[in-house]
Amino acid sequence: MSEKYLIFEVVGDPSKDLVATAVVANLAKSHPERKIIVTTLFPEVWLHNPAVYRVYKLGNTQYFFDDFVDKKDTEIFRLDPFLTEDFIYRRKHLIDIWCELSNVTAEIKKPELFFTAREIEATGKMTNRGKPLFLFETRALINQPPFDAWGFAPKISTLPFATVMAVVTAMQKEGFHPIHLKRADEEPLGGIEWLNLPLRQMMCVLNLSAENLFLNSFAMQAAAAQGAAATIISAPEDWTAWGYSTLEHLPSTSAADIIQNLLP
Amino acid sequence: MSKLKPKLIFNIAGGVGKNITASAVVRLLAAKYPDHEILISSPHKEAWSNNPHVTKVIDLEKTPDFRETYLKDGKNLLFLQDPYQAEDFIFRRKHLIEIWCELCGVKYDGEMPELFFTDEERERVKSKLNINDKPVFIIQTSGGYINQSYPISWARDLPLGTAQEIVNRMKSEGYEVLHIRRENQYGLEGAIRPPFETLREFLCALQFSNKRLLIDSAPQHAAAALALSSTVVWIVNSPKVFGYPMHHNILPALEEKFRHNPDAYLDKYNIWGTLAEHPYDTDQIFDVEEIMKTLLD
Repeated sequence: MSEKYLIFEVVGDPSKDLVATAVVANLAKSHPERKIIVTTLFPEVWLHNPAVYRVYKLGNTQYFFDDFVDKKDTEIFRLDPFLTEDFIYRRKHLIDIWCELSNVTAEIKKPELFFTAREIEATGKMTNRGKPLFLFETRALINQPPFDAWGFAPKISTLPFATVMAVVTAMQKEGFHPIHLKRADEEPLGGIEWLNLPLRQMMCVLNLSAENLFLNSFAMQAAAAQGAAATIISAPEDWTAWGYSTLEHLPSTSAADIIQNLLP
Repeated sequence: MSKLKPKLIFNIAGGVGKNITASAVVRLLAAKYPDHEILISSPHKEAWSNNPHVTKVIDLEKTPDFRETYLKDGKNLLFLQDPYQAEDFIFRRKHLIEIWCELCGVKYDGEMPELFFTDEERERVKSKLNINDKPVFIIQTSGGYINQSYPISWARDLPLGTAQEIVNRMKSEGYEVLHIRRENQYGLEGAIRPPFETLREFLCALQFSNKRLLIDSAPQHAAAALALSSTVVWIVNSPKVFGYPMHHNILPALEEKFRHNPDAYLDKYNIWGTLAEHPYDTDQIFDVEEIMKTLLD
């Protein structure tokens, strides 16, 4: 009997892949007869995902047409939820939008990540500072994001320097060890440790910290996937599209509000 | 008053040919949403000039206030999905217009694309053609973007040897031969490139021709829009998806040879014509007699 495949393509940043893990989980439930193949720019997000038969990095899909498309029983899901009214007007959650596009019920409504015990252990040792960790980020996007006519990007994508330093100082006073999850193209903050680990470790570490302060970014999605506690600074409309009830939503960039939220 | 009307924004990611194709979808959307002004988001205004269903064509890259102007109140209708991403497109099951209609929720019933030229445009183009009493044959050999990987794409373009043979024969049949091409594309002996400055002028000129040999490119969509039955040669793309039954659609006369094709992702070949993928051992892939028969019929 010939194999049946389901190809699911994701083109975007890692946060979009993380959202997509929920969509694929729903597709796996509704298409149990098909082997799911994910093509993406960030295969790291999909490793060990039991719903996924194969994951390929776009641009490195050797013999893909021969193996999975040509004369094959294959369904192709190459749908972009960003290009919908519901997302652009922030009417619904991205998982719901993507599931609707895929004609599947959104029963699973949070991202999924799967780490090996060794990944968790090694990342834990690597980030052990003898104090509870406070992880934070200051930018959700690359330094010069492309022109965003359709409003894909979140409204709040950076935190002001003064705010960050006030929050970090307050957390230090409470005994936390702050670590800045720094993008490669971002300047470090003076006197503050920063991390720029490979993506999988970067996602893994979020569940090993005591407190997290993130923007609307991949870190937020990864925290949601792992059930990690995190305060997320996000505009309310963006929260509708990206947020999760398991995370703490803060629609403010005021240092006082953030500190109060982190240290009630 | 016009500002108060709700807008319908239709986005097209692609070239002039895709824009011309989209005109069929937009006409159906205009009928479904008669109270909306239709705005086209595309850098290719030339496909939409004088289209009565369209209020404005917006080039997003030149419209920094687009989001503030059109998206802020969350009321305008947005049609942004790209039909090239659809499963029916990838598996070549349906015509592009039908796929696009399904994505937009309008019923497809064999609608054709549209182009609108003013009398003034037509007269200007005609004067540049400097047409004498001879019948006019228009040929297109190459398409694609200006900065593509190869000057000739084996996957789309009419092989020059074949093209030259057809030009010679059409000239001997008494035709004036005009060549649709950019100045940096290869010419053919005996074929004149009219002194046009825009693709739209070339498209308009189709109306002053008697016979046309086109490729998988914007002019074949334009010919369909202008109800000008033409001969169209296809190499890797399918006339089932991109073509029109009103044309004489001609496929290669040779079987493809075995090739390793490790880079093929969702389509067997890319349209730019990667040299190592060429599945024939010759450039003479079309039956010239078959083409001539459709031209002289």
